[in-house]
Amino acid sequence: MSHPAFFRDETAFLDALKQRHTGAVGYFFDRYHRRVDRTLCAVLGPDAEIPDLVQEVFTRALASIPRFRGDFAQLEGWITRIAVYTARTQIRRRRTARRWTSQAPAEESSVADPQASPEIVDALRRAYTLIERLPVKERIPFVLRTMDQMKLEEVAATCEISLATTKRRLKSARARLDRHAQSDPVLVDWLRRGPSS
Amino acid sequence: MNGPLLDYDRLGPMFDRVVADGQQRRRAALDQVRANLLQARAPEPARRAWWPMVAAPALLAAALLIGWWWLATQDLSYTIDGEQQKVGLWISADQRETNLEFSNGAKIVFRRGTKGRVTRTTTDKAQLLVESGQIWIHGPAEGTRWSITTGPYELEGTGTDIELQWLPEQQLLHIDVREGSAELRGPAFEPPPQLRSGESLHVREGEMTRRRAADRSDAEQPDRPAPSMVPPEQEPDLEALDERGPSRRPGSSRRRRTNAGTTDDWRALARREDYAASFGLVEGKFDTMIRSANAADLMRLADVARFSGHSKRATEALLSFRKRFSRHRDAATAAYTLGLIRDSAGSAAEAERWFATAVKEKPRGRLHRSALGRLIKAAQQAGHSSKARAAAQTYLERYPDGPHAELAERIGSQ
Repeated sequence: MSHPAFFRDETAFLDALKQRHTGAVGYFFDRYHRRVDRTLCAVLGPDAEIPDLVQEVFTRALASIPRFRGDFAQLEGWITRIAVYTARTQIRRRRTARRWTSQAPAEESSVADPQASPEIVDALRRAYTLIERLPVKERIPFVLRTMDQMKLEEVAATCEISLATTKRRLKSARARLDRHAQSDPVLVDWLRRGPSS
Repeated sequence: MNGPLLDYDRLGPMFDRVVADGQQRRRAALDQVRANLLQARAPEPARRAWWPMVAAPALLAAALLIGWWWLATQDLSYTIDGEQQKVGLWISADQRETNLEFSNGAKIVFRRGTKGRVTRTTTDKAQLLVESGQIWIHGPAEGTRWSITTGPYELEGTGTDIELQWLPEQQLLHIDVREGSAELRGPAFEPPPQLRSGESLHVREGEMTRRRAADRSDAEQPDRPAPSMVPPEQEPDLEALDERGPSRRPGSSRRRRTNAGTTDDWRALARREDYAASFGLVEGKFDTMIRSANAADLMRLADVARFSGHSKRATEALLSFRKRFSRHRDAATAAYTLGLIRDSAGSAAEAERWFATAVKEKPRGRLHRSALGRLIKAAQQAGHSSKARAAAQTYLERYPDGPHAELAERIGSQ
């Protein structure tokens, strides 16, 4: 039983969540905010707006929860899909803004672990620079698979596409990145030899 | 290239070390998000907006009002066989009855052989000109007013069941007002006779007879009027007419009552085929008569003159007819008769011209057949071989068994 002990059962928890019971909302956030945060970071990379987007995901989720027809076990996949949808919206929002206002890319330093090696932080920044050049429909399966390290089936379920389509998009994304990476010898070297530490 | 050159699986651990582990650094921000979510109130269920319940009926009422106003301000229009018709166009119910269906639901039936037109419409009134024939006005629109001009008469009426018949050759007007009211204006009607439901009016050669429904011996059909009180004159068999004279014209042997009930005037003498006596009565005032006579009398005068041997007078009467009644349905008959007169006088070219006119003005029927046959002969005699062959070809196409078919075949083969 994963739901908090003060709810009679999972159904009672979901009912309470749909009624915005404070305890249920708090438990809902505590249980899934890491999942949401990780998915947003995986899709968007180091991004200073991640906390705002986490709030947006939960706000969307709580607004949609009265229409949720699944069971407790399906909540994680459901809110992960909302996170992916929110991240995709953010990508498109930014692309549109850049097209019209030459807005600078989002700040990223605050997201990274200050304890992380500067070499790794740099390599990851370079990787996301390339990843941003992928089409969204390839970018999202690719980061969920490589960064978030989801299983193929999970990627397919989260993106709501078939397994075959998932594999095809991953293959296409890797081939595209292989071509783009040739312009960044530092990243190529890093991906070939791995972390020096 | 079989696979990717680079090992992208190395990105996962790197992501964990740089970003995922940074969650601790974002702890404070995430706690704030949690607090925000807990403070946020659930949105109240959307209350049903009140304004559509008021606005929708108001819009509907406004649309109905606009629709009613639009309909009320539109002039009446009419269709024939479902097709919208223009006001002013001539309507010839040559082959069958023609139904005029008006936009307010009223109908006018042009009986077979009727010619006329709708001359003007307003929002609640239609004006018609009936040149000859019989019309039946009926329909549910009680408010519709009708104004019908026919011959020298004008009928103003409001009603849902009115029958009107006008035979110009006989100067006969018959009106049945089964439902509604009407007023007839015309020469010698002072004050104008008023007709109410169930009344009828019969005017023949100036003599007016008025009846109520109870006075009539003939049974009325409540839902459809009797086809015709007086059968319209049929088109004459002109080939027979040429040989035997006008006394064989259908209807011409019927004795008619004149307005005075006498039989000793020129018309009565003509009907008795005493053309010489008849011409004797009109000879002195022939010039005046051909300028003032109505269409039927003018054709009758032409016959009297022609069959009494006064071709020149007959020609004058016929030319007067064509001038004064150029759109009359007997105008083609006058042209044809002029062709016969010129042919008898040995003037083939002039005969050809008149027969060609008759053919053109009467493109179907027995008159067309006779005129076309005569045209072949006249054109041949006038030396117009190509026109004769063209007429012969048309004749054989239209009337392969006609009385001039043998002539046409002979001319056509030359």
